[in-house]
Amino acid sequence: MFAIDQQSYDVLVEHARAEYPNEACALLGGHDHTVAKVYALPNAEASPTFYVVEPKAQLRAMNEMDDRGMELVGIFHSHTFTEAYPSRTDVDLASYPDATYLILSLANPEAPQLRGFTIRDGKVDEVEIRVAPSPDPVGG
Amino acid sequence: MIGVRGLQRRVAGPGAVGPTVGLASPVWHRQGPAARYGRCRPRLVAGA
Repeated sequence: MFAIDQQSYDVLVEHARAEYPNEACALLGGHDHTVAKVYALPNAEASPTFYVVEPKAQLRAMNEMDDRGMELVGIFHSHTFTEAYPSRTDVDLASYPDATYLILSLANPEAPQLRGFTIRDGKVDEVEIRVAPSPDPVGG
Repeated sequence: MIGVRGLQRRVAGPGAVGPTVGLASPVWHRQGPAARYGRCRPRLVAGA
């Protein structure tokens, strides 16, 4: 099971919509399959059918995760016109077997669909995603 | 699960294949991932 709070989920949906019709991408830092921080990053390809996380932004995000003691728990991208399932290219280029690959489909823009998967040695397994309420702000 | 640095060492260690974020720039190698991660640079995050 992979847990993401409502606020982080909303950030991902907003990022995907902002990049539409191109694919959006992000890295998710946290612990124990739970998101603590979303790094919404540029798609260096600026393409509706392909994404590459801009390398220097990727490094900055990973270094910050490292500095803060976080793990790379998730790798996010959007599918703008197709279902939320890893493409052949997603599988071929998956290099982080311990991360959950999250895909948000905007095929129906009014009803985005988020699904999660592990991709290990070419094998795709779906992971249940739980969107939990965001913690109350301090003093709220 | 292991930390980002450990993960990268595991998936991008010597002998790993495929693209990494390490670029051919000398500056990148002095100040970028090579300086921080040694020879083990993070793999590119990409897909379609």
